[in-house]
Amino acid sequence: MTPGSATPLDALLADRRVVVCCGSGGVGKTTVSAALALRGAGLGRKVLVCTIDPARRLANAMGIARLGDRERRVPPERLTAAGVLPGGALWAMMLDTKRTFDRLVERYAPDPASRDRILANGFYQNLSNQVMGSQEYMAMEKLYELREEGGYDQIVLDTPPTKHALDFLSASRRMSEFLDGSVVKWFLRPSILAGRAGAQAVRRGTRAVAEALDRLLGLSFIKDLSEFFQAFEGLFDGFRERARRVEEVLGSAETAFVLVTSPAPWTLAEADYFRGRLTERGMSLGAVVVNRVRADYGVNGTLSAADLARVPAQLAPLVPPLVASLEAHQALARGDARRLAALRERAGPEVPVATVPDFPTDVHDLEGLMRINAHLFR
Amino acid sequence: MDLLGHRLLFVTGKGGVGKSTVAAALALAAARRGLRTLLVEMDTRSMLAEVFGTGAVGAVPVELRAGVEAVDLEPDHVAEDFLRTHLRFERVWRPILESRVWHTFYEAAPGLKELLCLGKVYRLEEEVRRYSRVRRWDLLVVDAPATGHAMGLLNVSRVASRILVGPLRRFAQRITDLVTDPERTAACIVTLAEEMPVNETLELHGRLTGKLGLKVACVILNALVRPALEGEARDRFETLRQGDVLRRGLEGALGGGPATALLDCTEAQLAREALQARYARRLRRRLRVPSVEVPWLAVPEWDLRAVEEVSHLLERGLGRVR
Repeated sequence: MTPGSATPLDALLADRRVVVCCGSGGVGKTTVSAALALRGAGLGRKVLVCTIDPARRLANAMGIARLGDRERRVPPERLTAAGVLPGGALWAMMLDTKRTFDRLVERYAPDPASRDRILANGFYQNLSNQVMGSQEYMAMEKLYELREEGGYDQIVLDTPPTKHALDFLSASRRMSEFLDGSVVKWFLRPSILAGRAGAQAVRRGTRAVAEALDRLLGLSFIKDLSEFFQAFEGLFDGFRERARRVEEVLGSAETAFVLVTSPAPWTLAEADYFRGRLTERGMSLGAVVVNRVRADYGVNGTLSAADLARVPAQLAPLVPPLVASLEAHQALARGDARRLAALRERAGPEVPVATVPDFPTDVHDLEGLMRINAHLFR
Repeated sequence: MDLLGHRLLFVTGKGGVGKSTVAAALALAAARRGLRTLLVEMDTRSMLAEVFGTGAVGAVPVELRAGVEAVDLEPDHVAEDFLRTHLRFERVWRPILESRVWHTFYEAAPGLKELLCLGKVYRLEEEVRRYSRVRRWDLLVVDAPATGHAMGLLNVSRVASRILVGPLRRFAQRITDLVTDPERTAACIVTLAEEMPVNETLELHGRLTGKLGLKVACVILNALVRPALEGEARDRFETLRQGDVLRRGLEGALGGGPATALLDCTEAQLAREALQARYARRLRRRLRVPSVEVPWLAVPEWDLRAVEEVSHLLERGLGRVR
């Protein structure tokens, strides 16, 4: 492809260091992320795709079947075999929440003793392992680390399924708020550290709050928490600074958000909501990818009696079911087309809307990703 | 399997498989059976109000239709409700609710929102009618979050009873008792017959029934495409497809455009059916749980009639499972 013929999506992605694929669950974010990354590699860039939970066969195809948070290079010969032009390179990895969190602690702990104390703390283990929100946070954290240290031209991030579409955007801030500020100070009350009930050291007025919470949560739980926060104290500055910079990167011109959706009415409604929230936060939507759009076969399927009379007798019994099936399909395809047109209208001229047809087969290899790209980039 | 005979159903599955619709459809089916049913949304931007044409669904149960009410467990209300219940006196809970410490703690403390939400479900299950000991609802259908978040939600009381002490620990223990009681509580996993949803269903089933000790009553195979060609027509199609007899015949009679459209559309649909059949088989082979089939419903708009139709299809599907 020559630079002069760059497609709208190519133009968008050309100089973005970070591409974040977002959208509601089940729309194909992971596949689209991998396809965008493959495109970048085909244009000579050094690209990393960081995915959350790829289909096993796709992961195999990219050579990241083994778990772990290490980046693995997709063998160049696989790219060549799939028809990707040489010159670029593709890395892929799966996000490992626990491991990323541990690494963060290791990085910011002031000394080995505090590091070990945190890693061994039961509360931390629950926090880093199975608690909602930490996956979103770690996705952002990993993104930042890779951007700083990976040396990639472009990082494509597949976002975790969130309950609310934008949870991951504020995940860093929420986590650092939790690990910092009033809550921690509160849990670091001298009375708790001394193991005594009550709240002598707390300003008047919060005393009732303190007592009630102590009663509710149990003092020994609060003491556990308090120990956790104490161990974390030396890390706060590092965490807070990181959270601030992550938000900065997400809001900057080097990041493009690609919203992935299906043409179903309720998913599109979610996508609209997402678009609005993104704008509210001063982040700009780069493009929309509508995945699994039903093909329009270009005919209405209605046949006249004269048409039918010409069908050879041997084939005639097949015609009614074939026509019925085509008609039903076309009705759906027209619905998709109508909603797509309305979406383009709402998105405005600056936001490209690319579509991927609903393939009747799974996409599970690099060739499949290339097939997707043939539609995305045109 | 008597799915609607439970007291509490958690409807979960991968994102985008139709959980909310299935949950609403289950509630309608339960109401047709004469069960007073509560549909519980978990802070979703719910389409219920729009579909049922009711006022906004919030913390207070709204009647969707005779026999079916709905609530949406919005975190701030759940917190207030929790503090109010456990601390009783407004002069005690009000300052907590309004304090910054509580606010930040509640926003960020891992699992706390989930714990209080599940706690609210527990309390709704226990709710009795005024002036009586009779339960207010016969069945609660919870439109639970997608896989990972559902695990977080359903696991939270277990974790809490391990790390908490005091009144909250006892509360968490009682929640766990309810959630893991196979007489009262069951989960249904909704899935599509596609690669990722099926894989996720297998994994989710393992984790729910394993570590969490929940009963998974059934898997609901949603939106199954209906065969384009059946029986004799299918055989004829297969035969005539050989050697391009069909294509040439149709092209000759109808012209290239319509012939190609008819054939391509059918071929694509047959390929989809084959794929769907493969994943449905894989699911059945790997799981010892009844699977309930709900056919794909082609509707232009997702309205009340569509949800009702799904509800009848679901009921028929349930009837076919022993």
